Amino acid sequence: MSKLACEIRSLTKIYRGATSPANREIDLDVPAGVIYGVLGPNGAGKTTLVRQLAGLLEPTSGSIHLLGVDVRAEPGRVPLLLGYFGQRLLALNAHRFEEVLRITGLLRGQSVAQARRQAGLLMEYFGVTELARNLLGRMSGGERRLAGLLATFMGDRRVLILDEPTNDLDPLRRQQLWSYLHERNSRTGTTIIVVSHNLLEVELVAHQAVLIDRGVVAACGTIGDLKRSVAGWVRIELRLKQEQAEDRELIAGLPNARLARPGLWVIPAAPAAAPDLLGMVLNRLSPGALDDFRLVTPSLDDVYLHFTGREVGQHV
Amino acid sequence: MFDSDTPGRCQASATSVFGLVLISELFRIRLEWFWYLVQRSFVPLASLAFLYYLWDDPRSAQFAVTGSLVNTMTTSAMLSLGQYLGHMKDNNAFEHYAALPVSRTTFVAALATRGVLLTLPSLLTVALIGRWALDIPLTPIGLVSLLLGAYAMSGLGAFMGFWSKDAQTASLSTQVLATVIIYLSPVYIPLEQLPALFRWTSVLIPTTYAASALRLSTAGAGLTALWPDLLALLGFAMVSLFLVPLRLPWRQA
Repeated sequence: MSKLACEIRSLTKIYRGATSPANREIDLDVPAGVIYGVLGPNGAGKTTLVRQLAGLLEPTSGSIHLLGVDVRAEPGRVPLLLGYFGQRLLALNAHRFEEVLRITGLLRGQSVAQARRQAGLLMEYFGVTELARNLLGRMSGGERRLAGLLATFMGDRRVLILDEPTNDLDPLRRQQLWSYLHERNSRTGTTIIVVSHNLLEVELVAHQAVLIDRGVVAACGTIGDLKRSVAGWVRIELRLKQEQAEDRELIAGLPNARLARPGLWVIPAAPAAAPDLLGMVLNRLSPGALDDFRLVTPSLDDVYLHFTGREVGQHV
Repeated sequence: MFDSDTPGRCQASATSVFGLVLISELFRIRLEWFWYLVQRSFVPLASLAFLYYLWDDPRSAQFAVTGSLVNTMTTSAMLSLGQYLGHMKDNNAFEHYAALPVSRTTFVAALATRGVLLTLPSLLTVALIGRWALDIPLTPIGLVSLLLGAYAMSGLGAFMGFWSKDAQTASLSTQVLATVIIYLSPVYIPLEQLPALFRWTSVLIPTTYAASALRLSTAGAGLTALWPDLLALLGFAMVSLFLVPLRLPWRQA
């Protein structure tokens, strides 16, 4: 058995009529049995990448192997290996919640009893048994998305690709989803590829990640590796209540200081210099100007900022 | 809850997949059954009533009933399936099936069968009224003609739906095609009354053979007389079921 769940070489995708590639010469290895984050700004080419991996989009050039299967040559074998959850809501308005799950299980070769059992257990885990008989067309976006997610988990697929799975989900469901993915990965060794904007959540569950920017791989590795790439820095965060002109001048004059959003300043600093720098700023700010401050070690947010030059959520 | 607790084969059998996709696609009846029945019976019934008052000789009555059956078949199977597929394309609904172990051929066969099944209530309504009001019978071989014709028309509808780039194009193209294959072919009027051009083009249109087979069956003819028409309808159905999947955008380019 291949130790790689997914092996991508020189993958390029140029959409018809487009002038620049959505993915350009991407090389990527996803080890089997990991939770793998695919990160990047909106429009960076993340969805294009995973749709090609799922055999739903024809690459312009390059190769993709999924558990040893050549996806370009044998796209029909891909659904036997993976469960794919796309960004669009299921267009199955006339299905009941449980029917979506059971039919998916049956299509993946489960018996009626197996499909019924797993559907029941999944609905119970996510606390949605009361939705079982409801029609999808009469549900909220979050509930419909959850139906699609749980259907993706049905059957015995060794790889899961989840594109923005937490969109439209409330905080409780998000937490349940991440718990489920963590549990499933650790108990069954399922490889889980997650496209997400939520770096904090990815940081908590993923073992490895790739950062895509403008269609190319900007960085990849274990979460630890990625964070170490910006380890020479810590971050001072200052939240101001009422920003006086002199306070703004003081902070803006510091090297690399930036206004992350109104009232919140971020100042990167070398770890050894950070306490003195913080002390100096706190001493010189106008009385009552400061609401809160934090000194934080690098997170995936910093990795993201370092490699893309953009805040999370900014478009390419 | 996890796969190890509920192991399954990787893939269901082809017949199971066909049945599951067909059932899935028939679920829409829950929401739209009223309109399937009423709207798709209304147009052919209105045409039938109109023709009943317009013509009064037995041959005209035969054309009115068989023409209305073919009209129903076209409206329900071809037009509605083509438009439905255009709607699916707009909603990226193919991706749902493409990401599952469902082959293109099975998917198209299930959709064509869905089209045929949804046609039956309207066809039977028109057939019963034809029998009751105009004494035009629907024989068993006539029913076979209807089923084959419905498959041929569903295949045509599927082709139009997949060929169209979006729902709007599917709607317009199927309406134009429906007009051509109902009113510019020997469906409501005898072949010899059509202009020469349409007599030639009629050879390529499945409604020509469906209407011919139905007319012969209502006149009491058997398989000996109907087989050329039935063979043509079978050919149209098979060709569309094999050709349409090739056009199906399972993977986006």
